[in-house]
Amino acid sequence: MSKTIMNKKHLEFLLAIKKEKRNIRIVQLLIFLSFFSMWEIFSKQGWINPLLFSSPSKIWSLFITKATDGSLYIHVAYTLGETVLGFILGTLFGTLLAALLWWSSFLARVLDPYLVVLNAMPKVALGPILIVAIGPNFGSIIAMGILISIIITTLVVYTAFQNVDENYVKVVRSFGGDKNQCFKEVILPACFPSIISSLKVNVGLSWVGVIVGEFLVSKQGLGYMIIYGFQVFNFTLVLMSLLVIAVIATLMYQGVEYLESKLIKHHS
Amino acid sequence: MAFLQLKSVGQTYFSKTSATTALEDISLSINEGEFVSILGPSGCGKSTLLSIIAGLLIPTTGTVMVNNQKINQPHPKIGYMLQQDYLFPWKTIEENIMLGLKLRNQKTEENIQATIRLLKEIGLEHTKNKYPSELSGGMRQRVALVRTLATQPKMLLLDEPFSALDYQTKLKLEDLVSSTLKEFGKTAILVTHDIGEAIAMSDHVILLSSNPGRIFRTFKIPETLRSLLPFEARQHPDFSATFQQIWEELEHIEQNDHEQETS
Repeated sequence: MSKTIMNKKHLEFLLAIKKEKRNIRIVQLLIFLSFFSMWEIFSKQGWINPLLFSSPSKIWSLFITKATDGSLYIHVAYTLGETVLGFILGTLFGTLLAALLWWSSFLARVLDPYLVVLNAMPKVALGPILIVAIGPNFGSIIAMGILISIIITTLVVYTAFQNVDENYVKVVRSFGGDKNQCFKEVILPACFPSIISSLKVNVGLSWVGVIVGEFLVSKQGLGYMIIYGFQVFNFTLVLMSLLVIAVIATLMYQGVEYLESKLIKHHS
Repeated sequence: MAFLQLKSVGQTYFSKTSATTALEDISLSINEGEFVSILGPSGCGKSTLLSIIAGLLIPTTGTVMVNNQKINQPHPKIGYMLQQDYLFPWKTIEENIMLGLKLRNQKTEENIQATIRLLKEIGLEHTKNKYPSELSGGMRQRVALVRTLATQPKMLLLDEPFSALDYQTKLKLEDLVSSTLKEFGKTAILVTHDIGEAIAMSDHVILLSSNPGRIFRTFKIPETLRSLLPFEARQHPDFSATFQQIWEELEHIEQNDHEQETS
């Protein structure tokens, strides 16, 4: 085949990819627009209960009010801070615990049934105990954020530690490396991808922990706004908070994904 | 004087249901500068033997002596090269080859320069800042050789280091390893199941029988082949005669195994 024909075929191929990508975007946008416009129309026409389901226009105007008077930022900042602290500390402590288990297989075997039970138990049920123990404040919300992610992180990271190819450890040992060095040079860097991916899971878990925590104790935060809106039957406020959470949680997840792509470029 | 001495080394693995003897009564001594291959069917405990010599595994019975000193942990004068390169993918080539120096606390300016020179000699200086994933299999195994040589071991243990490579790369690498080791006067033990490779590279070939692994026979490779590079040795008329001889002995081992099984 001559070069010009090849070039033409290649161009057609690229065009087809581009076209498909554009079509996907168009349909996605259509779903988005029709969802919100139907919501608006149904609510206006009274086909759905406007008191319960509110409407996008009401939510938007409330959002603008809250954003201009600045009260939204305080709530967002609180929740955001708690969530970030929760998932970072949860991942950190979980990894530390996993390291401890890796260090002592005796300890790992002793703790195994306890970890299984703790993992199976719904951590949010511990909320009331946390509040009494730590007090109805910032601390118990963070504790909730950590608690909800720490056990699963421990289990996932510990499994990753165990699955590291024994031969890398052999290389370090053949140079006279001790257990400490094996961990630092092989186990930990090899499991970096697993730790980051558990960070991704923990973003979602931490949101659950923090929002439930705020339901229970907070005077600030998006969780507080939801529970407050519920109590005064202001569902516009509830839905607005929900949408804000959806947007921020997505951004956070994307942020961690970006971090992942930067940090583990060379892990394969 | 023998650099390495094994005195009736045996290794038995225990499990809940059984005790399996992998090696039995292995005694051998290797002089400085010698290249010895250990050849045998798969499952004859070749790699176990190498792990014991490397000090990674303490034998159930017997002793391993280096320079008349009993070893029970990895000896600084023994380098170990595995079947695959096992370069750390998250480290650059430079960081990878410095690993041994770092772990042995020998990261002096002089040693670093010597290691970089070694990388240059092997023709890979330009890959210094690359990551292993950017290199081909043969290049990676060459880097692994530099990593092993960086701590300046006197003896190298080679655990089928060419088995994961394609044939052409393997032949080239055999020449490179052989000439590099000769140049630096290193002692080496190569574990392999490739008869040709064993003949082409070594001064002595030790045949192991399997179940349990025992020294079956020791061959001296003719002087005519020893002085040649592995690739040249393969072309030499003495090569095929030696090959035939070892082949027959290996057949013998297999027959013995078979008889043991059927009896």
